[in-house]
Amino acid sequence: MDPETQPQSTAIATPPQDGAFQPVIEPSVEKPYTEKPKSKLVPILLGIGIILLGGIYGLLSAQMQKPKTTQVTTEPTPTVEPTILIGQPLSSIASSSAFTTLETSIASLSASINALNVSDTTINPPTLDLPLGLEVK
Amino acid sequence: MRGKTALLCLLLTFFFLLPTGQVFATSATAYKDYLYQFDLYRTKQNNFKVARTEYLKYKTLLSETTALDTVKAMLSQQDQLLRSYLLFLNEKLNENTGLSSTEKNLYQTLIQNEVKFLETHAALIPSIGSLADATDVSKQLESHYLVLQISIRQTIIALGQGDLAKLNNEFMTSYNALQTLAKSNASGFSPEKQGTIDRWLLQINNKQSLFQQKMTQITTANSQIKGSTESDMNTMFVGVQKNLGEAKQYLTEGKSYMQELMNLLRYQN
Repeated sequence: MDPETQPQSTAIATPPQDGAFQPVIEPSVEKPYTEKPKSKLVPILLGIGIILLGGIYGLLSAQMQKPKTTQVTTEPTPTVEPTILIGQPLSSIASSSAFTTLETSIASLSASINALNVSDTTINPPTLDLPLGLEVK
Repeated sequence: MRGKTALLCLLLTFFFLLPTGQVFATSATAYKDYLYQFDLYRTKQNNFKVARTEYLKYKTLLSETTALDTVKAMLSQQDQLLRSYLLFLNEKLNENTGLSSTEKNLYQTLIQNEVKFLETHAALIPSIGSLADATDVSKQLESHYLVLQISIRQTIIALGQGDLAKLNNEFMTSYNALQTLAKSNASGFSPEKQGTIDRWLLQINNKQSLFQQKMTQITTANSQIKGSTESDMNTMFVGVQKNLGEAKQYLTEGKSYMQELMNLLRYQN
């Protein structure tokens, strides 16, 4: 048998050739259980670790909850876009100047209506800190 | 010599053609001034709060003197801030093209009365000699504050009404032009199409009538804004503001109908 292919466990189990037995592992001696004095450092480190982990978790969750874009609330307004019907013949009015002018004025009206904010907060009055709060007797 | 005279004439012409540098108080400049006064108020208010805390804690002569100085500065700035805000509202009224001159006069008179009150109040501040005096002077403003707030809220609503009235004028111009266009080309429409056009025109008119009714409702509600507390008054104000939003919605819907009608007219049958 090729020595290289021999299993390693066999080599370890073989006793020495000179017959003298030398124990490799010392016999374990069971020591009596004695309670070690608790180090004060361990709870402090644990506490710091928990706080750090909590902080990291808090930061990560806040980062994930942060909205990516600012939400703008707008009043629901129905928007009717004129549908361009392909292939449908245009009427004679459609090419008249009166029609074009009116179309422009309605588009302008639409823009003005959309731009109007009836509850504009910039116009709100300042809030004063009243009364003075001086306890004078 | 001739060259020098020509140069002098040129310089003089240039000088007279230069803008006079007159500052027109627009609402934008008035708003900037208001924001500046607001910043000053915040600073003076914070100074007073610190001095007040010190005074209430230690009651020393030094802390009392500091509290007195800071309260006088704060009260004076309070009046200045309110005056600048009222001036801003006044400019907004001037610029509003939707309000009639009678309506403008009504709200500008309200503002002028409030400015007069603030000027009288501000004149009392230099004579304040003690913290008790300061409390008394402040109470004069406190007792008038609700009246002032009501006038302000009524003016804000009027400005909103003015903006809507201007839009309504534009709306009516477009509506009348649309009616004329439909009538002048009536011979080219089929009876079915003519029926649809008439019906849609009526529906646009209905939206405008609803808008008008809402505006009348707002005018009545605005004149009745009152309340025993600021919170009550604010609730009423928010209610009227909601009505302004509804009035705008009627115009939006009417405008959408007009766009639909334009689309109907664009094509044959």
